[in-house]
This record gives sequence, structure tokens and C-alpha cells, in this order.
Amino acid sequence: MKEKITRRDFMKGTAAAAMGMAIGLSPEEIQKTRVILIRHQDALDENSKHNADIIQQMLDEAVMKLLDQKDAVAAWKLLIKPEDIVGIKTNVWRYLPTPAELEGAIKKRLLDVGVKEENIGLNDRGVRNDPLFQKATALINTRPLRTHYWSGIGGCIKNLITFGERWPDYHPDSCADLGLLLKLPQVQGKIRLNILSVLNPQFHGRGAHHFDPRYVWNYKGLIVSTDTVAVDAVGLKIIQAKRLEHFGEEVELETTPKHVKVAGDRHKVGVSDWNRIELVKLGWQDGILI
Amino acid sequence: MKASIFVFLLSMIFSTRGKAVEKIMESIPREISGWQADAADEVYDRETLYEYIDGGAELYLTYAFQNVFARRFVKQDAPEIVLEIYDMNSSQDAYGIFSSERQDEEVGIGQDSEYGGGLLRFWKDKYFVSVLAIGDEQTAKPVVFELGMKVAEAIPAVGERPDLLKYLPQENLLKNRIRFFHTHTILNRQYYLAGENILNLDRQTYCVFAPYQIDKNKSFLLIIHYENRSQAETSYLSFLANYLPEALGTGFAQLENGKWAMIKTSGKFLFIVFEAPSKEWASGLLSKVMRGMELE
Repeated sequence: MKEKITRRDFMKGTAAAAMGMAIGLSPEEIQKTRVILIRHQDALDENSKHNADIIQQMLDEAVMKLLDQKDAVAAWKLLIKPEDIVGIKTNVWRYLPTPAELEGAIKKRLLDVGVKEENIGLNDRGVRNDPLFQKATALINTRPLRTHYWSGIGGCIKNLITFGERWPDYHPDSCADLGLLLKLPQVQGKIRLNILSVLNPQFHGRGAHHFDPRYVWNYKGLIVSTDTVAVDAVGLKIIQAKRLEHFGEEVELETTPKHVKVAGDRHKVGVSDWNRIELVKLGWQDGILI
Repeated sequence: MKASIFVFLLSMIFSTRGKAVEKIMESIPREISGWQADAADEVYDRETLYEYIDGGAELYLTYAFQNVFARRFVKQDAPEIVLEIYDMNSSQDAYGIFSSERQDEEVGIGQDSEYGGGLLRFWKDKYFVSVLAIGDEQTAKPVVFELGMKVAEAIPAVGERPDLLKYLPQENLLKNRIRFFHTHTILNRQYYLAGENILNLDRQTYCVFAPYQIDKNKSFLLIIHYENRSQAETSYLSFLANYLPEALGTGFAQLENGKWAMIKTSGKFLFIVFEAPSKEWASGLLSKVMRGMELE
């Protein structure tokens, strides 16, 4: 058995096999997982202000298509029951937080389903100690997509780190084991929907806080799925494609975002294999990149 | 008694080696061109840096980071400006953290600097300084520079760059892309080599990674300074065993992508060339380095 995966394995195209051998994967089949990528030209205006009505419309269309329903509330009812206690896991990173318009669109549909307002919570860093999140029966996982200093990308998997007791425990090896967050008692089996905002994602970062407005662009999209890993796999493709377009050559991410693949292959908490993702592209197609 | 005097003298030497970061912050005005300091300065150390930097603290902790002072400047209808002064404990590590993601043009503040996208970064003495404008960059840019210059003036001393930089051959060297670091996680950020630490890098090793532009392609030189000869030799063998087994006996091999890799060791040093266009080019580069270091 080959023990150490190196750059040469990637040159040879054997990294996946090497990783599989190293971790004892079985070749079991996983059904295709559906991911909706929806974009709208007017989701942000020329001043990058988010349009709440358009974002609501995009979210509705995405959820309907995801669940093959013709009515948005009917589709949401397949995800959430009126008696559910729902935590909206958002992201408050000061430079690029989850847009309030998106949080509002989610909350509106939860109320439409019949969830009581007092049973809907919104939190990021305080989820572990938030009484509502502690007794939540359902989670909606949402955040913006960006490159991330230590994990390569920050997506829906990384968004769950605030459920971890000690965040640095997830940092070794480029945060490879972030997928384990989906197995925490407060999370496992509770995520009903993942909404990765690619309304204005960041494809490259600089500085201590890894933020640089030169590398934020108005892609005007949402990636929606019940599969946390799959939305990140699609997000990663978009980031890589944008970097190729911008830099004119393949510039590797500063940190290899291996946690997406490891979450799918090793921890089996979702699908990271592009061949097992059914990507449905809706709306504005210009510059969609993938 | 002699021992306690020695410890006292040693602590005096270290405490006066660089001006304390809080003293520097005190000398920076709390109002500048209409921007006012917002609330008290924030201070974070190695234990609390995670609270301040979401996801980026690990980078600083691979260096000898001691603490950071942060001050926010606000002005109505204008971008917020955040000043951060990082005490990196040595000028080498101040240079190292600056080099870790250098990409923009030099702007002449401190010992090396760059500006882009509202972010001014520079280092001087044992300090790394960041001034970031969040929002309309053009409005804030003059103040960002003014603030940066005031901080640079407040740091009286200058520091030494890492010695290893002296030995980099200059021809075709991409100077703004040189990186100085210690650990394998940072090496992997520049050039993913292996998931595991096959070169035995840690906070006691000194590494410089330098790219060279050859026509449209880039080749890379890695120099590692270990604590002792034994570590260098062990790491040489580990690299051959895990990455370049074909090079056992010769030190070089052509890889699957057609490029060449080459490794040599001498004393406490290890030298590796990646992505070379030919073995002659790799060999020539290493000869220049080793001649410069008087190792051959």
C-alpha cells in the first residue's frame, strides 16, 4: 500500500486511487445527487446592492426544481414540517457575510410552511450555546462562497465549524476532516437544505483576513441542494473556472481544498465526485463558467 | 546567583531588541484626516488570535508571532480603515509573513511593502504591518498611506532579512514571489508537495522558496536550513524515498510532466529544484547557489 500521497500522484493521475487505497474505500455506488445552480442578471444592481425580490424568486425556483414541485411553499413543505424547530446557520464574516436578503427569503418560506416565528433561529458563531439551535430539529445551512486561507474554499461544509467544540481541531492537513462536522450530534441528519450564495463570491484572497475586493465578482447565483458536499463541489468548480479566466493560467489555490473530496470519499457525508452530481443550471447563462 | 544574573541580562537584551508594539501604537495619532479611532485598541496573542482572524491565524502561528494590536478608524460616509501591527519576534519572521502572499508593486514604506485593493502591507524591524480600507478604496487610499508612513516612522530600527535570500541566483528570479517560512503546511501553500511532512519541516527549520521564470514556464528552488547535518541527511533520504525514488544515486529525475527535479544536500542544508526545463538547468542553478554559499 502506498502510504504518502504526493504531487507526483496527481501528475500520474493516481491520487484518487492512492487516497482510496490509503483509507480503505469500497467501490460502492452512490446515487446521483441533484444540485441546482440558478443565476439572475438583476440579483445585484450596478452598485452591488442585493435585490431581495429577485433573490426570493431565485431561491423559490431552485427549491422547486430541486424537489420537482410547481409551487415554492409545497416544495419547502417537503423539507420542513410546521412543528420543526429550525436553525438557519448563517455566516457573519464581516467582509462578506450571508446577505440579509437571502436570510430573509429563507425565513419567509419557513413561516409560509407554518413554522412558528419563535421556532426559527438565525446564528453563526453562537450556535453551540444557542438554546434554539440546541433543540433544533432542522437546519438550513447558508453562506457565501469564498476562497479560504486554511481550507482552500469556504463553503457549506466549512460553515459548520462553529458547531465544533474546538475549531483548531479541524485545522490539520488543510482542514481535511471538516466533513466530520456533519457527524456531530447537533448537525447529523438535521440539514434539510444547503444554500451556497454565489451572488458575489471571492475567488482569491490576500491579507490577514484573506479579503480583497479586487477578487470579488458579481456572479449573481445561488447553489442549492440537500447535499452539503455537492454544493461545495460545484462551488469549487466555479472558483477554479473564475481563477483560470482571471489569471489566464491555472493558478493553484493557496491551500488545496481537499476537505471537499475527503468529505465525500472518506467520511461519506455527501457527494464530491463530479460524475455523481446532477447539475441543473437555471436562469442567466452568460458567463456561467461551468 | 550567576545563573539568575545571566537570565536577567538575557531578558534585558530581548526586551530592548525591538520597541514594544504598545509603545508604537501609543505614538500613532487616534485621529487622522478626519478618521477617528473607534473604541479601544484590540490585542490578541498566540492563544487568542483565532478570535480575531477567521481561518488565517494558523499562518501566523507557524511563525514566531507574539501579538497583534488592531485599531479601527471610522469616519461618517467613508470606508473603515483597520490598522494592525504584528510583533513577529524577529525581523526574519516579519519578512516571512510579509513574503507569504506578496504579489503587488512596491510602494516604498518600511523595508518592503506593497499596496493593492485597499490593502497596504509592509514590514520593518520585527513588525509586520497591515492597513486595510474596507469599502471605497480610492477615498481611503491617501489616509491608508499616511497611516502606514506614520507607523513606519514610529518603528526606529531596521531588521535583517533572512540570510538564505543572499544565496538566490538573481537571473530570472521572480523577486516578488520569494517566500520565507518554516513548516510544510506553508510549503504546500506555495507548492503542494505531499500531504505528509516528508521533508521534516518544523518551526526550527528555515526555508526559502523562489520561483524562476523560464520562457513561459516557472521553475522553483527550495533551500532548507536544518538545525543540524543529521536532520538534513535524514530529510534528503526521506525525499528520495517518498518523492523521487528514481533519483537515488544521481539526485535528479525526469517526472511525468516532462520536467526535471533535483536534490542535493550539504552540511545543514538541503537544496531542491522543481519543474526545471532540463537537468542541466537544475544542476547549473544549484551550482550557483552552492558556490555562493562556499559549499563547493
